Amino acid sequence: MIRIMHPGFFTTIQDAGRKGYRHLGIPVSGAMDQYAYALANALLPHPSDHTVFECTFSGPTIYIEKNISFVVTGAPIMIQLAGELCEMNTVYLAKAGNVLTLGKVAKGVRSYLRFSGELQWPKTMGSISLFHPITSSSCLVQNDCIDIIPSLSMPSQQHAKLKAKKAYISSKVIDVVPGPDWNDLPENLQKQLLEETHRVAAQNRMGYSLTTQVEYSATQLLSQVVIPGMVQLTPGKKLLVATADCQVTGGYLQVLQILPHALNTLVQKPEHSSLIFRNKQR
Amino acid sequence: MSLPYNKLLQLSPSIYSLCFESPVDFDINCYADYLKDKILELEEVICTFDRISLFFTKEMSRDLLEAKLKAIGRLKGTHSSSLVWEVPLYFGKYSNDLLNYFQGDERAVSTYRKRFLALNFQLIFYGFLPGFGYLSGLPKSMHLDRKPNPIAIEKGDVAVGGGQVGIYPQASPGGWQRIGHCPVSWFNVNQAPYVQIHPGDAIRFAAIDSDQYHAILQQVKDNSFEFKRIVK
Repeated sequence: MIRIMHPGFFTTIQDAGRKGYRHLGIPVSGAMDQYAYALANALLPHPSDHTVFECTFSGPTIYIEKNISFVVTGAPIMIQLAGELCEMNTVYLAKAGNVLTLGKVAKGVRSYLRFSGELQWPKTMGSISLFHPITSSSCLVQNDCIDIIPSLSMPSQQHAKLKAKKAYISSKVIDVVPGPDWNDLPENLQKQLLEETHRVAAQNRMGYSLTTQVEYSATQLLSQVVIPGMVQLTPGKKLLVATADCQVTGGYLQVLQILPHALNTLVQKPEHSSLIFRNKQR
Repeated sequence: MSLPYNKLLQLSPSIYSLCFESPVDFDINCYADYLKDKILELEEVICTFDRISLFFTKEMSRDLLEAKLKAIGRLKGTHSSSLVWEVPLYFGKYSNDLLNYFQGDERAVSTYRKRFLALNFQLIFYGFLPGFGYLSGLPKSMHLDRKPNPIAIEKGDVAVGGGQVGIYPQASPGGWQRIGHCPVSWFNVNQAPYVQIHPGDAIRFAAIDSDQYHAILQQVKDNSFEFKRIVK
């Protein structure tokens, strides 16, 4: 059992996502940074539990009621277990009575805390991933108590460490391929999208909006399928990138598609950070 | 045999969209169901008005998919859903957008409503928000331009955006023109299969007065409301 003493800025629970319900208008959700998610699961594998706590900018303070192993991946963040500093991407054993504190991220946006065991939390449509209003809450709150049935097999080496990629978190380059409506854009605007440095105006789990102004008025389009990584041009002439909790359909111009590995980089970019798109046309 | 679509779009290594000429001249949901039966590696198939999107469980090569689609070919005959649902529509206080749209011309509003109630719609897909239904069947003469800027829309509002008709399952910003209000949610997250009206089903709207509106609200509260099925 763990008790959330302080939830951090915005901490959600994510698993592999709510697949198979797009036809009801329900996004898949799941971790924003799929690399950090997979790494956390590789360091602490479990046959049926793949949950992580996705922390945004700052992490939770957690009271540990029963011995349990944990690991933190993704954006580098200050980790303290019973007052001792811990390393990223390293498995530790938290003992009953310990307080685990995740502070603020040193760079990037999203860190992932994974416990070794089976998280007891209700599933909605086959998934624990928090997404309001499909789930009753959208993030952890103070005094949430969560039971975790510990894994029977503890990791053989308590400080097990995998070689973790780090450079992707601060890379400026985002690899893309042309999106379904790319050819509708005049050449000068295609050039603008690929040559200009873009900045993040705002971001959340639904998407990233960029500050770039693209002088193009799209005709009114029929709504089409939207997938994470799709760069859309809105009637307000702004670029909007769909991410994990994005609407499953939308009527904006679909100009570029961010490749999966590059999406992990994008979702680690805070507001005001800059990026450039690199065309990796197949 | 020619390929049964106009264009094949690849959205990701495992996601493709079959694009058809708009408006489609066949039942797109039927064809989607047909493909779902014939192609084994699919996680999900989603229709929009003029596309069928195929979500595979793993990467799928374009060549292999094209060969599969060519072998499957077009769906022969029509097998559209025989279900027609009657959906209550309350014009009461929810007329502002139409009145504004027609610049205060009440006759134009009343004509639009009458024509709207006489139409047969089809639910093509849910999207945008969980349980937001997109309907086809609005003739070109009844298309309404979207608003330049989104405003706050209430749960249950029925709205028109261009040629698309949609029902808001929750309060949300929206840029479509509100034409009326449906007191019943189309989507219930607590009860599988979560919707009573499925993609492919037909819909007719029936105008309700204030008494009926409040009676239905009560039924919704008591969890006793069900959409009425009309026999085709």
